[in-house]
Amino acid sequence: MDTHDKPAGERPDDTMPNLDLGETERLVARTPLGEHTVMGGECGDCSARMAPSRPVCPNCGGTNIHPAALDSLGTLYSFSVVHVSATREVPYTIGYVDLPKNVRVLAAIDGDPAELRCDQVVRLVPDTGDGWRFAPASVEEKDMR
Amino acid sequence: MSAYILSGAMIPMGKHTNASYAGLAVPPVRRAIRESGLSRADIGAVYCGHAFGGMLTGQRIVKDLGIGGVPVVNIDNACSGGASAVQAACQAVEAGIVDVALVIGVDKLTQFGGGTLPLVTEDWEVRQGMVMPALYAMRARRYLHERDATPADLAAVAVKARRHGMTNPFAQIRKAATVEEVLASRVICDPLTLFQCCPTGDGAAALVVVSEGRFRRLGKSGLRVRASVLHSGTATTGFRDMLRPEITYHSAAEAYEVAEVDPKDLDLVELHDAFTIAELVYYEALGLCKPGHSAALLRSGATSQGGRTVVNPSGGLLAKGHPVGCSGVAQVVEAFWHLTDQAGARQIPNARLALTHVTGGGISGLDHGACTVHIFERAS
Ligand SMILES: [Zn+2]
Repeated sequence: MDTHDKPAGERPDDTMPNLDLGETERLVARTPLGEHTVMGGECGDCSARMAPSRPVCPNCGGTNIHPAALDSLGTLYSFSVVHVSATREVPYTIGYVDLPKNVRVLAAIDGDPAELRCDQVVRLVPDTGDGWRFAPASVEEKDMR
Repeated sequence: MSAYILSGAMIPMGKHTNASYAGLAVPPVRRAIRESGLSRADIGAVYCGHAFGGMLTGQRIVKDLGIGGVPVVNIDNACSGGASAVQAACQAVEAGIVDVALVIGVDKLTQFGGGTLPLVTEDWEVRQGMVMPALYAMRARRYLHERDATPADLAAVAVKARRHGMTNPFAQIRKAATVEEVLASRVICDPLTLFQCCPTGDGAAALVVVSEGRFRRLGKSGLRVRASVLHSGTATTGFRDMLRPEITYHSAAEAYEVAEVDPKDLDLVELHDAFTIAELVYYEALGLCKPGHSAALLRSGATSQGGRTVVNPSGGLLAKGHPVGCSGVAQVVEAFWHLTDQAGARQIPNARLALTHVTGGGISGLDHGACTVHIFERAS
């Protein structure tokens, strides 16, 4: 919610920069049952969900965003094995993973690239550094879904 | 009142390591001004598109020609920077603010020593390892998954681009390749191979844009600007159909509406084929075929030289080259040559209508950051 409790010239709170380059927020949450899920945000005004969370909702422009534990299973929309990079060791695989309730994340994809397929079910790998990792889900997990 | 393109010029694209930004751009600017029949003093404003030129790129170029005093505006819109400069010039001329505008598109990618474009590392997806070829590779993977198409269809785009580029002395790559050679070239981002990615190079192009009144008084041949459209992408935090690039669909629809032109009336199209998959997806987005029919359209030969609507007669970004901020202006130069019967060996006979299209940039949550679509008609 935007607050305008002070005169504009007296530096209201919402005139301070968003420190979005600071410590990376927690990217993985743990449910009471011990399950690892993607940590993101949910807009209190329009219900849009997003990962990672961000200071302003791109859907409605509001700032009423609270942290939300999202899901651990998603579908792999597409992926690529990257063989050229100036900044990191190659090859590595990245892909877009679609989580339930319309959230898409770019993530590292584990597993043999030759076995990966568009639209297959993937599961969050708990051991995440400064981004998410997903790997093909087991047969039982696909049935659960 | 329409804006008119009175002249255009460019340098051959390639690795011009020993040329500065001014060194690249001054020759085509001089030539465009000379061919316009106007003088330096007639220029009322300068619009310079570039992505990596640094501060005051336009001024660094035009000062060498003794042009000053007038507004010089530098425009970055990634790959769409040059075309955005064209759009800004057309808008100023159509509004009657400027009578004669000079447009420059320039970039020097050899300053980075090759490899993928340096993207802005503030972006979340870039920090997760996103590079431009990976974005297009994911689009290609999805295309192969959803469409009745094979990697050979992707490769056929590069084969056509190189065949067209062989007839263009301004092209960076002028060597033919077979489908087998394209597929056997080094993997960049699976399934895209080296020959399916535009080369790294340097380039510059220039245009003189004038008002209708000025064009009529001069009595020369040129191009009437029928549509000049610039859009930005809209962010989403969720699903995006990578085969339905919303920004190009919207820009093209607006351009066709403004120009009152049907896609099937176009004689040539210069579109943003930074990677092979882009050309196929943009056939559909630009309305050259129905969604799902792009591979069939390419196979039919309709978009090859001699076909109904020749796409990228210059060789496109894949063969002509893609010095980011230069490309949008260079596309218009190619259209200019065809619509004024100056294209030489690759001339499309009796070409009357041309469309140019260029998108720009990879940012989290967007299809692309910018998209420009122009439609031109032969005028005299
Ligand atoms: Zn919202």
